[in-house]
Amino acid sequence: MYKIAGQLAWKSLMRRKTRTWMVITMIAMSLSGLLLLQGIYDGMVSHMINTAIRSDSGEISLYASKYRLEKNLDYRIGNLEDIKKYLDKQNMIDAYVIRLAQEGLAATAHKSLGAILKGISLEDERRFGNFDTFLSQGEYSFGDKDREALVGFKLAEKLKATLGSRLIFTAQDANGEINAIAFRIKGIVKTGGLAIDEGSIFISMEKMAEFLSLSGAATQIALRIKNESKIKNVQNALQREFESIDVLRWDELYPLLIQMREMMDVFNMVSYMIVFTIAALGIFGVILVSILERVREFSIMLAIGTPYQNIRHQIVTEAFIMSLFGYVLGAFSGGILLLYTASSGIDFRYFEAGLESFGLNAVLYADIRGYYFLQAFGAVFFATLLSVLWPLRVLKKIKPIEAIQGKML
Amino acid sequence: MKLIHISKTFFPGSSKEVKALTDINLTFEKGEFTTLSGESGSGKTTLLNIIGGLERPTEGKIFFDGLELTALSDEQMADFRLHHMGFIFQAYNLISVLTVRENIGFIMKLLDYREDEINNRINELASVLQIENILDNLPGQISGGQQQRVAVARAVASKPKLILADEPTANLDSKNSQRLMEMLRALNEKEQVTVIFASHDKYVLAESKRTIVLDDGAVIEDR
Amino acid sequence: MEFSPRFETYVLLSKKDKTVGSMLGGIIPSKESSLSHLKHALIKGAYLEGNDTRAIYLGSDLAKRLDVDVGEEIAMIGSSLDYSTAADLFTVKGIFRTGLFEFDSTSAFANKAYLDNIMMSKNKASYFTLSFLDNQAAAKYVNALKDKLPRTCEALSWQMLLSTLVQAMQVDSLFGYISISIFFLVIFFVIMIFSYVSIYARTRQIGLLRALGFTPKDIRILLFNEMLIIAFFSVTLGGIIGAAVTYYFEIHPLVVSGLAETYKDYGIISDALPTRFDLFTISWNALSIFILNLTSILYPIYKINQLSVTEAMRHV
Repeated sequence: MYKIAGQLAWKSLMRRKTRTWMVITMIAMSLSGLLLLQGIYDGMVSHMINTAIRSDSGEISLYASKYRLEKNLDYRIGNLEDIKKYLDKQNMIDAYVIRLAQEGLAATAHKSLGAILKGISLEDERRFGNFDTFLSQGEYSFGDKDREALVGFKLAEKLKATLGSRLIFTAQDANGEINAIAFRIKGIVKTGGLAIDEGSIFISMEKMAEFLSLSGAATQIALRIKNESKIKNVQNALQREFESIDVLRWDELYPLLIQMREMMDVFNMVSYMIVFTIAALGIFGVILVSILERVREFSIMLAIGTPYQNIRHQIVTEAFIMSLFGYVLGAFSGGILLLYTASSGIDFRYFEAGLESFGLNAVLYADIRGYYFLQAFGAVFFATLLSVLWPLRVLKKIKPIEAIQGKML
Repeated sequence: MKLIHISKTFFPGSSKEVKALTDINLTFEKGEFTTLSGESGSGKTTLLNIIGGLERPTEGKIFFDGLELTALSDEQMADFRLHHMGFIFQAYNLISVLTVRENIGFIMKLLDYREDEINNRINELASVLQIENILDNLPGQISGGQQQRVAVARAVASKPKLILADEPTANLDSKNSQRLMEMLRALNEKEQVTVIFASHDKYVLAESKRTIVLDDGAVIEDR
Repeated sequence: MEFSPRFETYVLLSKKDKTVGSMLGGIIPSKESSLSHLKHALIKGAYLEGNDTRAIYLGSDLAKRLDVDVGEEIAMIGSSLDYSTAADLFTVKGIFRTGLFEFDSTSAFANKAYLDNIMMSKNKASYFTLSFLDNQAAAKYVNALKDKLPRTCEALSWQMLLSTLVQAMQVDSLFGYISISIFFLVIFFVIMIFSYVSIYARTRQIGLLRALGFTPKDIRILLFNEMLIIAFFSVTLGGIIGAAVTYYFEIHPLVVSGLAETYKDYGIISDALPTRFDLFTISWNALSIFILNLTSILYPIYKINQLSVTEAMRHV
């Protein structure tokens, strides 16, 4: 019996080809648009998270407790050797970097600004998060005698400093004395992360230790974890091992990114709801009209004994055939768009500076996740269901007698 | 088939109240070829609809082979129609998206006949009704006379016990009306199917074995 | 128009063993109060006055970083205009919070008259801030000032100074437009489907008109005019309803409790979601939908005109 309903549904759709295609195209186009939108938004957040992890926090960062609040050298990680020994033994840890930072005043001949000076190891940073790929000008080097520095590009811009410019950094050292250090700019980095681009200067760890009169200490140790699902385990293990140290995951350090991700999810959901509520209206229109113009036909079918369920089944099948085609087409074209955008990206160069203020590059890359397609399927499914409810009520009101009496014609 | 004290009142109790049928008592035997006749508004179509279970009588009972049809629910009645009754209406009574062949086989398919049974029956009927050459056309592509013959074929295809035809010739010219009636008569004799018409068409009346004349909702003649 | 000079310099502020780099601005308190929100941003203590001497007005996050409160003393070290070291002690007079995290954590203000003594900046300013009653006038003034000012000075509008913010706003609208274009796309299709279906329901009538001598062009004009009327009324109605809703929310903003608490670090300082009743945006959207309406029936009209007269009249 369902076979007959299915056949009738198919044939009815084929009879009104233009209409059917309009609905299918509508679903397909809005779906691919939504998939692309979702991919780009997710891609943006992923990019920001990725940058934050690579250039700063790693999957896990260790700080001396209170340091993050006070930003004071009194709260530093001292037992560096013990920690290093421990970290070297852990096979879950891919790489780690040790950083020593201090806030102070960066000045050129023209201007002075608040900044953070960070002592790092370029080689370690490269292994840790390919830090060298963030270099936008100059060389990834501190010069022959460690007398040169890398500077965040926004900071350089604000200080009106360029490659080779001389910078003086003034800050308090470990003994509470105000000290100054001078160096030239060897390279300019552009990570997309505001903290680095707008306020960080990198020099060698050795130079930094000397400047602060502090060796064998760090303000931050960042770790890369091999297996994403093991991050929490590693965190717990580290916390047990080093009780006096704050062991924090990237998502605890950058709650805003998690909130952004959640906001994007909500935003995507709302978009889906709006688009598919409107789309449901489109499907609804076609189904309703197709019922109304076939009232006579349906009532004759009912009169000769066709079960009501059979006709209902036909209508529902018609709606779902259109939706299914629309979904397949939309998922396919959306998938291709996503694949393209994931590999080549979309260029928003015109909005570059604005995007940078969000910590993004001018070229946006999309994410592709399997659940997009599942979610899209759910949306199409519910829209279709929604769209047939009212038409089915209309159908229910058809009485076989009316066709014979010609009442509804 | 027995009709006992059948009455039908439309809009009972309201100002528009119309008494369509009053106290009809009739018996139809197997293999009858009967016409319900009368002027427009005499109640012949209402009576036919009540016999077919498309409408319920206000009073009275209908028995078919001992089964009380008036006691069946709407769904049971639909099932009964599917299994035991065939219908022919005035016009446009085919399913527009199905070919002639599929239209004829439609009820048999609903009744889960085997594919080869359906095809044999379609071919058999097509030759009797002279519609072999249009079997693969859609209803929109054939003439009104042909459409009505297809409707006849569909009505008799599953060999129902009873065929109800409401003004089947109303939209046909005289030649086509005559042919349709001849064919129905032939089927009636060949397959022993009971046929009841509601019509005042002279061609229908001429072919009928029994004519029941209604006037103002009552039987005034039965011959 | 209002204006006020400011002298700005970067200094180190310290309290005991804590030292923080900060912007220190010399302002004329009375003039500044009518120019910026600095006075209204006060959360503790008092705003500066014209005769204040060693008083400093601190950003809330800066105060937190220095661990100081109103009434406490902090030291300032910077360089004065003659490149000599300038140092002094200040008492915290007030603490402000604008909601702009960066600003609140790196800004401090003092009375310009006093600061000028220390910094040797009498009769000198880093810049003037100008505020216009009419936003549009700013651009004109910027151009006029460019001609009048000596070479060493420049006049910048807020759009240029806050180019990042302006561009951030552009990016925000970019994503808004992307989303809206998808909404418009699906609306376009829905209207097209409905108009197609309703035009096709009248195929026989149109066939009859053609038989009576209407040309396809006449049909096109007829259907287009019908759509024009429908679109006009629906867009007007939709516009009025939409505008009313927006207007309502401008006066009674949607309040999401806890919003300010969650996002206080990101410059959102109120639970209310401000809604702007903007006639330009409303009419722009209404116009888009109107045009969408009209373009969506082009295809249905084309399709129906493809039918021959006899096909149309026989249409079921």
